[in-house]
Formats: sequence, C-alpha cells, structure tokens
Amino acid sequence: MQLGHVAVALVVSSYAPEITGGRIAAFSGEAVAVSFIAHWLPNFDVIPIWLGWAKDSFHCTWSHSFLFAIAASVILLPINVGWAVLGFVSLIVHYLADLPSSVGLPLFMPWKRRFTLNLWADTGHSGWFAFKSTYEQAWTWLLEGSAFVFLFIRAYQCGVWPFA
Amino acid sequence: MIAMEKRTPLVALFFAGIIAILLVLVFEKDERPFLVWHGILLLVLCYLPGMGIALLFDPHAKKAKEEYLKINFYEEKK
Repeated sequence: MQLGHVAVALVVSSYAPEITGGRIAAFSGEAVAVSFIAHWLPNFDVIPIWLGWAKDSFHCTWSHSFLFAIAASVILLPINVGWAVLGFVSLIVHYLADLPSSVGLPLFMPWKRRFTLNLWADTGHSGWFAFKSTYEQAWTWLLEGSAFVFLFIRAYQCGVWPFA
Repeated sequence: MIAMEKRTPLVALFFAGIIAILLVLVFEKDERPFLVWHGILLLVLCYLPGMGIALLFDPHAKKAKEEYLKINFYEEKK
C-alpha cells in the first residue's frame, strides 16, 4: 500500500478515544501526529537503503514484524501510555494494510516465514516505477480507495472537516 | 497513463455511483444531511474503489500483475 497509508493513518486517529480509553481525542493534533508517525514508521526502513547502508531486501523485514511493534510501544510506554497504545495499533494496522502485497511480511521475525494475501504484485520499495506499477493493478485501487471512502465516513461521523 | 480497456472508466463510474448511493443510504443522518458538494466529493472518492472493481474485469490489470509477479524487485544488483 502506498497513498492509502495516508487515509488509513487518519482513520486510526479517528478511533483514538476508543483505542486509548479516552486519553486522546479523535482527529486531534496529538492523535493525528502519533498515528501518522507510528503508521509510517515501518516504511522508514527505506532510509538506510537509500543511504546505501542496507540492501533492497531489507525493506519489509524487521520493521514489518510484531517484534518491532512491541519494541516501539514499549519505548513509548514510559513517555505516554496513550501514545504507546495508539502507536501499537497504528503499526499493526500498517501490517494489515501491507498484507495484500505479494512481497509478504515476516510478521514473526526472527522467524523468516512471510505472510501475504497476494492481492497485488509488489513492485519495489520506492521510486516512480514502484508507484506507477502499483496502480496498474486492481486491488490497490479497490483497497486504498476504500480507505479514503472510509475516512470520509469517519469525518462525517466525528463532525470534522469537511462536515464541521 | 495506466493501460486499460476503453469501457473501464465508465464501469468505474457506474460502481462509484452504486457505492456512493449505498453509503448515503446507510450512513447519512436526517439531522445532518450531506451538502451537494459533500455528495460530489463522496462520488469522486468512490470512484477510486469503483476503479478497483472495474479493473478486476480488465485484462490489462490482470496482465500487469502477472508480469510484475515474475520480477524480484529485491534481488541483489550486480
């Protein structure tokens, strides 16, 4: 998933009160910031690849595992319980959003078995070709587009822009 | 441009309309009706999954997936 992550992160932020037991308000700056950063965190594994510190195959490995989600949440826990819980859910939702890609996710790293729904073919971690070729396939439009529609409905239900 | 059948954008619009109508029927509250521009925005957004459904019936999209599945984009560059 590429652009759809934007909508999915915002949808997660809309459920912040339910997820955090009322600690963080829906669509608040805090909810959006935490869910966005946590949700995009796994994809930051392309930075060491761009810098030449890691191979292309590093993408979708450790950062896309439950171990990473747990570690990130444990680090956040002493700082803010709400951030830790919302961050954990955002990370797990990222994995669910990436699960349809053919590359598969090694969710139980260091066990390297990859899990995939194989709804679309993975075409690389970054760059114009990866972007364009992703959207030549049906399921990316279907699922990512649905995420934006879902966001629209959540905005309506929560009474935020464009319904404020 | 994405390669697709000529009919695919129209099929997508058809499905977008159906999705948008269903969503309005299910989620709209009487006390807070959608404005016209909300409806237009919803239709535009519904065009995205509508396109996904339309592409499921498009041989170009199917072929693209099959072709990309043959390539390992994470193979070591020599």
